[in-house]
Amino acid sequence: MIEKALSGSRKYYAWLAFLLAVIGFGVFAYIRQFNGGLSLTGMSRDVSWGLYISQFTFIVGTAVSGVMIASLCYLRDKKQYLGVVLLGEFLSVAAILVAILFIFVDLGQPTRVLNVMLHPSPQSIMFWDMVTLGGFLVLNIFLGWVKLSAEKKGQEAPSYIKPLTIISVLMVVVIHMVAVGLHMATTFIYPGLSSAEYLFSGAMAIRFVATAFASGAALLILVCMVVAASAQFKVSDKVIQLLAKTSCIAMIIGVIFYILQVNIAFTNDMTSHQASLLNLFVGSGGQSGIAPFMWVAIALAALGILLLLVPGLRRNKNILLMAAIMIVLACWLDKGLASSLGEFMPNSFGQITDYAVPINEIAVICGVYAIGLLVVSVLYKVVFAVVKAPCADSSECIGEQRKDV
Amino acid sequence: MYKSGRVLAFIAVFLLLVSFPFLAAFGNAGSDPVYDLSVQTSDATKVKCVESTDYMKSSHMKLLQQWRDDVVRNGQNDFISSNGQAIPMSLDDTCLNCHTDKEAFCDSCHSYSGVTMDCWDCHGTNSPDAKK
Amino acid sequence: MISRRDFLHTSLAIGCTGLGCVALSGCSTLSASIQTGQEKDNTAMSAGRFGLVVDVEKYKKSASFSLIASVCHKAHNIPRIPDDKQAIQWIREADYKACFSEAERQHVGIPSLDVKLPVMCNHCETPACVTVCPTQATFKRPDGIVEMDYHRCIGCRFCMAACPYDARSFNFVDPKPYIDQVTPNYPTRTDGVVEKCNFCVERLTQGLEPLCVEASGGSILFGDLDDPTSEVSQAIVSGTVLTRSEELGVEPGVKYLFREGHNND
Repeated sequence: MIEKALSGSRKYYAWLAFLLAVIGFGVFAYIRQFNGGLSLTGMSRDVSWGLYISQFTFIVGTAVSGVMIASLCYLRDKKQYLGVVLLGEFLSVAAILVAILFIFVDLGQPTRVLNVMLHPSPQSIMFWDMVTLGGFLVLNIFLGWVKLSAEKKGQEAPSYIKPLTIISVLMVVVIHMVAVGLHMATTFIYPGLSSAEYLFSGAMAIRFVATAFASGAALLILVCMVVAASAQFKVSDKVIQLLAKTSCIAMIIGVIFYILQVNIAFTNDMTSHQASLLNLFVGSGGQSGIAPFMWVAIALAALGILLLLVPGLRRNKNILLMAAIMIVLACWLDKGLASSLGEFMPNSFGQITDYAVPINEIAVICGVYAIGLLVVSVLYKVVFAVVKAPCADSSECIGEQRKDV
Repeated sequence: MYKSGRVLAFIAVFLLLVSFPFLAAFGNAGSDPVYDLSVQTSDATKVKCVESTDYMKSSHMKLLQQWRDDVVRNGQNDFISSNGQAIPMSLDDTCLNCHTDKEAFCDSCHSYSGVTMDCWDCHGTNSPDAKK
Repeated sequence: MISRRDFLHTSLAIGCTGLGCVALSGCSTLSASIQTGQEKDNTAMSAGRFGLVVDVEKYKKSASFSLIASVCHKAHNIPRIPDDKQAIQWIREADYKACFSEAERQHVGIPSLDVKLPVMCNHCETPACVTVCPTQATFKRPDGIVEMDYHRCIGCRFCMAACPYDARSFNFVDPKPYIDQVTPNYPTRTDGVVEKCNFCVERLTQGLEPLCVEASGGSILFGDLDDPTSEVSQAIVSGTVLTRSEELGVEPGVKYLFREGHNND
């Protein structure tokens, strides 16, 4: 079936060529980094994890959440939700690959990466991160491909697909637990105070997972809208509304628990908890640090929730598009930028180390994202060729006409 | 054959790429490595050879890896050689103490055979060109 | 005639099996002929748990941090990186206030002192860095020292994120060009690995104390925390002892001693 990705319209080839060019820049930039050391990034002794890892945390949460919702829909009604579950599975394949690549480009000694497998360390949460992500990647490739093959042959998916889909849903839960565990294993220190109270709170864990689901569902909505416009592959409105409602509720939960965290910290006068939050929202020592991004994130989140909450607004395609973008952006600003970087500032001496992002680092990040986009484009091309989605706004969607291949 | 023109063309390109190293070096047989395994220290009486030359030729990489793990991870200091000597396990202090010219001793064979060593990323500080 | 699909599937299967066999063949156990011995070296220092005690007031009076730092950094081939943000530091100075939280100080009745204290890796009893290292490149020795295996480190820097004491440094560049004066017979590190204080293990095997202890003019003590007769154990009971970020429960091996009847300086 992969041969379907090799032929397409002019636009398709142009898109692939563009992606390959970006990947080329990224590879070139990475070679420079490989030879010159990680000094070619904005990282420093104080901010030892930078944009690479923050992209990783954002992508992992987002990727697995979207596909979990889609898989749950699929388990309810295979016919109707085949399109969206395939989109979700292949999106998560590309996203997990991107996440793994972000870890790889972040390593100081990448040629030694196999040490993680040669010397397994079950006490390390990072080991379990690698195991679960790797396993989830393989599982999703397998599930998506088998479903697609079955659809192409005009058959029902084989019987083992259902239990494997359930396993994939459970694995998402495990991956979230591992991701939260990884986040909590990090400690950030301010003058005399550690971030323990801020990080080790249950509210933090729930917020982490809730925003992952919010951005995951929103991203899947965006994907569905993009493929509807560019490839005329329409996913049913019912599913999109379900995703929108999920995203809205998840974001509300996330915001509530953030407010709860602030409340806990300030009403109980928990000094170090307060310090962490103040550092994120106000900055420190006269410098605003990461604060502006946090406030923008709050504004976007509030607006996004509002737009998704009101049914009349939510059903409007353009407003839905804007709302989904806002949610994804708000979560990215929070998780992919502010929380990851802001927690390193100020350092133990009370200084805010600025993170000046060099072009090289941006190029590598763009290259990695472009690889993800390439994988998703190729896989989606196959999906579009095999699965016919004739629905416009009716509730039936998939399966009547199959392209003869 | 389906699309035979394209297939044959790409096969030709592939063969060219794969044989490129041989084509590029055509006619240059290269010379054998000039290595010098002699010991360069006046203190040769103090420490006899760690193991026989034949053993070292075949297994020096395994020996060094074992030394590395024993010193760093197992906290051991001395190696009991096959003739009963207790030898401190140290690249800088033991090996390079006698075989001081790393170019003649190590690089000559390793460059020729194309086996990269990353020892010198960190070790070798007691040689004159330590900063290289 | 085999179909293209079946041909691809079969060759993939054979290829993977072949690769697997090749990979596994490299896993031969090291030859049994390599023996290593633990020669009972009488000069080597040993301990149940090595620890350090900083006598704060004595340190303030008689120690020079620049001397201590230069001795440590020179002997271990620590580079001087031009970009301050990416500096490598095994031992640093920290403001007294930054070391101990206000609550801690008030609780034990110690006033604020105007002093900068030496801070280094605490060689914790339950080190967070060891728990999170995905390759066990950082590990805890039986004698309590948290060691680094620079050969195995993949440079993921999770240990740096997990360490609550900011004790670790990463080599953002190849350090060798930035070493002022290379100390022979001690290795450097390479770019892409994390490093930190190692309680001068190389000196301990020769029965010598760590360099910071030696250069501290008697204000930093070193010894076996598990041995009640050692210098450090006796020092600990002679006054009030604080460790950094005690509430985290990792039980640091570096203690800061405040003797009775201290002055408000």
